[in-house]
Amino acid sequence: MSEFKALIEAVTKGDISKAVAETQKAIDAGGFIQAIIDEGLIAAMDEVGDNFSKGTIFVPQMLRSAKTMQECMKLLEPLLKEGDTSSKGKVIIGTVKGDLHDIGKNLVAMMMEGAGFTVTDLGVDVSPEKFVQKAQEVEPDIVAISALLSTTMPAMPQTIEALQKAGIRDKVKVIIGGAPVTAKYAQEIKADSYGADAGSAVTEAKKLMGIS
Amino acid sequence: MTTKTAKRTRIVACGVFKPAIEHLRLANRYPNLRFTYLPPVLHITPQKLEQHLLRRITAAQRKDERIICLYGECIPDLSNVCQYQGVMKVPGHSCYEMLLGNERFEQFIDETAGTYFLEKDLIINFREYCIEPLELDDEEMRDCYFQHYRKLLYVRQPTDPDLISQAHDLADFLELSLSVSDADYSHLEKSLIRLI
Repeated sequence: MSEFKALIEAVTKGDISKAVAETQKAIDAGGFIQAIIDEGLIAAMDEVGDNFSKGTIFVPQMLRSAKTMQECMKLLEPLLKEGDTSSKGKVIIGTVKGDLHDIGKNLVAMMMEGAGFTVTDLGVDVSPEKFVQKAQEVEPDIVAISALLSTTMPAMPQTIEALQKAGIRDKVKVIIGGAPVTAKYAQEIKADSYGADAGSAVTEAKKLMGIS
Repeated sequence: MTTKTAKRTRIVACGVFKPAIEHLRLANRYPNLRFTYLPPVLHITPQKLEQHLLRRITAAQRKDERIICLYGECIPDLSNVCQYQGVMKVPGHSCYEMLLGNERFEQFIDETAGTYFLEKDLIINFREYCIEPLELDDEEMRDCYFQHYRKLLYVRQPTDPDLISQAHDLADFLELSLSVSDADYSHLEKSLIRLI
C-alpha cells in the first residue's frame, strides 16, 4: 500500500485543502520531494486519467483534481533543488488559430505537468507562426495542438506545414487532440500521435518520448 | 410535388430540427419521406449519440431507404462516416450554421470569435445539458468554461416560443451580452430539398 494513500485519495477527489495538508505532512515527515511527486501526485493523476478514459469521472472532477495537484506542487517546487528532478521532456501546447476553447488543452497541459513534462502553454487562438516561433525558442520535444471545432481543424495541418517550412518538423513530435479530432485525421495530416482525451494524451506523449 | 423516385427516403435528424421540419411541411410535400428524430440530450454523451445514430442508419439501410443525416459534426468525423455508409449528410458543422446559413454563421464568428450559440432546446434545457454536467453553479467552473466567450447569440426560429427572458437569464448567469438573430429556415429548406 502506498505511503501516500491519503494524498492520492485527496487529489483524486479534488479536495484541495486535504491534499495540501497531506503534502505538508509528507514534507514535514522528511519525505523525499521527488517521491511525494512521483508516488503521490503523479500516481494520483494517473488514476484520474484512467478514470476519465474509462468514463467513470467527467471533466469537472478532472479539472478539480488537476487544480488540486497544482496547489500541492506550489508547496513542493520551492523545495526541489536543481538536479533533484529531471523533466520527462519539453512540450509546447496551444489551441489553434480561430479557436478559443481551452478546457481540454488546459487539462492536457496540467496532466502532462503532473506526469513530469515541462510544459509551455501558448494559450488559445495560436497561429501557426506563433507555434513555430515558440518551438524555435523553447526547442520542445513535443508540439501539442488542440482544436475543439471542426471548423478550426484545418489549422492543424497548417501548423504542421509551418513547422515543416521552418525546418523543425523532424526535430519535434506532433500530437493532436480535441473533440472533433480522430486517429485517422492525425494520420492524414501526418501528426505523430493523437490523444483521445487528456489521460491518453499523456500516455501517448510518454510513448513518443520512449518512456511509456 | 412528387419525389424523384419511388424509393423511400428517411431523414435521420437531431430532435432540435423537428419543429423546423414540421414547419416546412416536408411530410406533406414528399410522401415518400420518413423521419427519425434522436433526442438532443444525446449530445452530452457523444459515444451514445454515435451508437444511436449508427443504429438508426443501419435500420433504415435494412429497409432499403435512402438516408439523409441532419446533424452537424456532432461526433468526430461524421461526414466521412456518412460517406462510408452511403448516407447523404446535410452540409454544415453545427445546427446553428444549418439554421443561419454558412455565410451568416461565418459572419458572426468573424465578428466575435468568442460567440456562444444557443437555440431553443439548449435554452430550455441549459440546466440539464450544461449546468449540471459541467457543474456551472460553481463560479470557478463557470469561469473555466466561459472565460474566453464574449457574447451569447440566440438563434431564434420561427416556431420558437418566447424565450427572450430565459435567454437574458442565461446571459446574466454567464456574464455575457446577449444578441438575437432570426433564422427563417430558408437555408435549411434549400439544403434538405437538394438532397431529397
